[in-house]
Amino acid sequence: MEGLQETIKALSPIEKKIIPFLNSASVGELVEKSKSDKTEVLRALDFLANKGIVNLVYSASKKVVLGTNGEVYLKNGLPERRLLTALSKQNSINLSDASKIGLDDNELKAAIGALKRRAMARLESGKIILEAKEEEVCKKMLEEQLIESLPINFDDLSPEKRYAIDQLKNRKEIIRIDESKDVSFKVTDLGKRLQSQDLSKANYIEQITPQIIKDGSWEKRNFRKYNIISPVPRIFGGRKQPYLSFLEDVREKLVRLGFEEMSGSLVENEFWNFDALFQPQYHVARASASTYYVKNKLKDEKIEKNIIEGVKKQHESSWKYKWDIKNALKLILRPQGTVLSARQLPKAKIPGKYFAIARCYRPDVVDAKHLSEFNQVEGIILDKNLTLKNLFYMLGLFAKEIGGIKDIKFVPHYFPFTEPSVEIHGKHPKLGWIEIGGAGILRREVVKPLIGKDVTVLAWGLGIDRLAMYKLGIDDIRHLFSYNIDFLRGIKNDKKESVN
Amino acid sequence: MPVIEISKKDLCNLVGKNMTKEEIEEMLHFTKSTLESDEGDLLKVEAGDANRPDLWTVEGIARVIKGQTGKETGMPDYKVANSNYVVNIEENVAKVRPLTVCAVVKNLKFDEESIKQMIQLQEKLCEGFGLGRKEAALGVYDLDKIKWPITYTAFSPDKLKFVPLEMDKPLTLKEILQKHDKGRQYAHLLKDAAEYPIFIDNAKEVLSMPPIINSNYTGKVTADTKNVFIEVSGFSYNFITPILNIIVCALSDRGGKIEKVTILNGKSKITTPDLSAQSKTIDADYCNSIIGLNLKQAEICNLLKKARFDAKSQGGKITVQYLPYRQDIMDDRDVIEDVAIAYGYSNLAPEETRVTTIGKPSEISEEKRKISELLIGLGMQEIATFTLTNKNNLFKKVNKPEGNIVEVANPISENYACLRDSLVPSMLEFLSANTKKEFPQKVFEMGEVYNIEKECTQTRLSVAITHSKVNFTEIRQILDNIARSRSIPISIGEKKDNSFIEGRTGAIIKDEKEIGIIGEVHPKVLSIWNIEMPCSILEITLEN
Repeated sequence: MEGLQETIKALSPIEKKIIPFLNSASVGELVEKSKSDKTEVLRALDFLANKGIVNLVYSASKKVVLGTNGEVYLKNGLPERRLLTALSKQNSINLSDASKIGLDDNELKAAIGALKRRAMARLESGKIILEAKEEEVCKKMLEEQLIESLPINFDDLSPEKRYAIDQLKNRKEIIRIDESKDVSFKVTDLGKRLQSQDLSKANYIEQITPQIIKDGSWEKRNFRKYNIISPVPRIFGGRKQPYLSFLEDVREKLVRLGFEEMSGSLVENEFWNFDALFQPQYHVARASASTYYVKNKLKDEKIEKNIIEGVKKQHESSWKYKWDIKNALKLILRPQGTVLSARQLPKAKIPGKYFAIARCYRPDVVDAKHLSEFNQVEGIILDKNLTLKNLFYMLGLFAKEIGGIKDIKFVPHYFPFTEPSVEIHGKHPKLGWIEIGGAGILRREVVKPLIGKDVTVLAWGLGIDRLAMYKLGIDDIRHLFSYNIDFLRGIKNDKKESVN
Repeated sequence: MPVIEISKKDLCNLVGKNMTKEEIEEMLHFTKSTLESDEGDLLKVEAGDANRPDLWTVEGIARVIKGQTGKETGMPDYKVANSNYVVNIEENVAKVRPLTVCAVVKNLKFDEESIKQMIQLQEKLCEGFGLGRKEAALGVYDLDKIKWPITYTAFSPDKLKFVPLEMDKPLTLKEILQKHDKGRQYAHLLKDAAEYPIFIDNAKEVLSMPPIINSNYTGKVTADTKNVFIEVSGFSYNFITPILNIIVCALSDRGGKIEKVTILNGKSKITTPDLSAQSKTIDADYCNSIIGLNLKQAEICNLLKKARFDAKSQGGKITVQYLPYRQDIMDDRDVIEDVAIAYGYSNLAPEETRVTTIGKPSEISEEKRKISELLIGLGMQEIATFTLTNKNNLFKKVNKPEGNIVEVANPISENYACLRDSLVPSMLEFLSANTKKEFPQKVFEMGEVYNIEKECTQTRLSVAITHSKVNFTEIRQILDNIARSRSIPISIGEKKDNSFIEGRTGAIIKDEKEIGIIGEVHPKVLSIWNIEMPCSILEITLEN
């Protein structure tokens, strides 16, 4: 009897509320009869199970349901059906006319893919050509049968339908697989004994309130016993984004080394990025394969006349071609941090040290190794009598301070705007020798037109994203810009889950 | 940069020394190239110097290795003999592709590898240095099939037929552009031309139609070919001369004997190739001051010889001579770098500098750091998202009509085709990726956007809070907290915005200017992103 009283003392109000209805057949019925909230009931069941008052049985179920596009397709037909219908009328369609069917580019691609896979159509010199026989055209495709049968329990699916799901799963919002956990319960002997008690008599103090303290009523009542052993819901504090935090450290270190930070616009013109950096206007690096060009027409920048004149003269005398300011004003998305150094030169102090952490853009397909935007850390050091050996010293310092890499070597390299130029390689404990940055002494052809005189300028840049990946212990570069809040919150998943 | 395929055996033969893969890898540093991969005898080498097309060839690489290992130093010696070969340029070619430089090389012993290397040289140099054949196209022909003199002229597209390389029947010039692989690939280079350029010999046998294709008869080089005629055509000697020089030196390195060709163009007459030495004088002290060394003049001269220069010193000045397969030497520094490389970067001991300056972060970085500290103290998670996005995210998915935005002219993917002008879509995209994660979610980003009206990049702050009970008050408390702590004098005005619920949306105002927006996100927008939790967002510009 005493054990039973102890158990009653530890019952929370919601537990007490549902105990009389534990004979219900399902959670739904229990919620309804006890007139309680479902989440609360589920939590209470958990607690009751811990106390041996009920036994819980969990079962997982997966349900396939229509996605937002799926609902539309159910009404209007799948893209491949719409393409097929159009094809069956005219046998072949020019790719350029395909938009008239009313499919967007992605849908059209998916539709062509689906029909090709079934050998119902083929692509030839820009035309989609019907291959299917009439009876094939009329037949309902597996995918169509599938979406008409939704929602359906995953476990009830035939193998053909599972195949259809694999096909549709990767397309945008056609189907969704909802996973849910079901729980059923059965009251134990202890529970049954509790059900025979009048629980309303047990008037324990729940939440202690200011009122209870003030009026002293706690002297006459007992405190309900909490289960202090079972886990409580997690909370998450504020945290820095790990990649930005790394960049913040880099910034702090460079400031401590005496560097002043530069900043600039994401949209640049070719003048500062190429012409001022001594790349002739016909140079291969200016081709669209390595630079994003801007479609819009914006105001032309007013660049100081003597700078334009200086750059023009330098190009024409060194590269022997007709330099044209018009080609220099084309707009691009900043492809390299060096453009900030170029802009800094005319206003730089001598001696001076400057750096930038710049978001840069490059037309790369986004994958585990490439991003179309990334950050570069770049800088310049201006003074009289600086040497290549001094540059090596600074690079060694950066490798150690920023990359934590002690073992480095210097390798001859080429950059259009530095001579001599060098590439710095560092020995990474896990990855062996890796390239960590490039540097050099700015060419006189760059310095003179921008500063007006010959000053030795050491210029350097570090592949900071790579260093960040090593530091953060990630091997997919996309994780630097993670869209997964769990990853950012520092939750380690055993399951291999995408951080994007 | 171009990747070239070379044979290890061929390279060792050219150098005259057996080398291991590791030795070759080390030696390649002198040419700024890197060994990308090796499979048995086949080495894939990525060239590193855009201005040294001579180093995009195995012969050029071997030349450098010979110098650096001391096998053969100083300026290489190539003999160029006189001859009676003549190429006449006719006036009508002036409009379409006016210039050519030519050479003859005799006594060649081609094998599979040397033919492969010659073709590769032609491809890589004309593609890279010659800008996709536009500025320079190179043709090599069997000299023994040619009846001299050769005429460089132009024909209208339907008036001439010849058998192009790797085909068996004659096609008109027009048909070649339509039917031959190379014709289709390079047709754009003759797009606006009324007549197409043609090299043709005295027996009216066509040699080629530059920059498209050689003829199958004279323009085919095989292992049996002993003597060749070479031409490079284009618009400027800056492009075509270096390529001619590079190929004749390469063939000479394999034992060929170079002969001159006279080119008559109306009244003007030139004779090519011209391999006479170029020279440049540098100051020994300046050289030392750039590298940070204290080398004697004789030592500098020796290093330069390893880099295949001839060098003489006199009274503090060093005069170097070099052959015109190098077209990269513009400034003294171009020579000085070669001194440093020959000295060895690994032999240059780093030397501390004492450039004393006071470091400081930019104002915006400092402001960002302080705000970030505040928000983290308020329990918020910092995030970083992409600045490149698409119109769908920026307009349709936030329930707004399409507006003006910075667009990329050459996007790789439709997903990354615009520069964002607001952080709000980025926040929604982030939340939409986390709908199955634990709530509440409180996130912020300080990132860059491009404001197209003001034509400038702006750094903005956005905060998003999402959980079942979030409302305007909660997000407003965050804003007020930041404004108070950072002494930003703001007020809130009423505002209508399609992304937010009317009556629960405010304009953030500072100095009578709108600098941001705050409110409860409209359920219509949330549904578009498949977000099922209420969400409040603020966005504020931190600098203008």
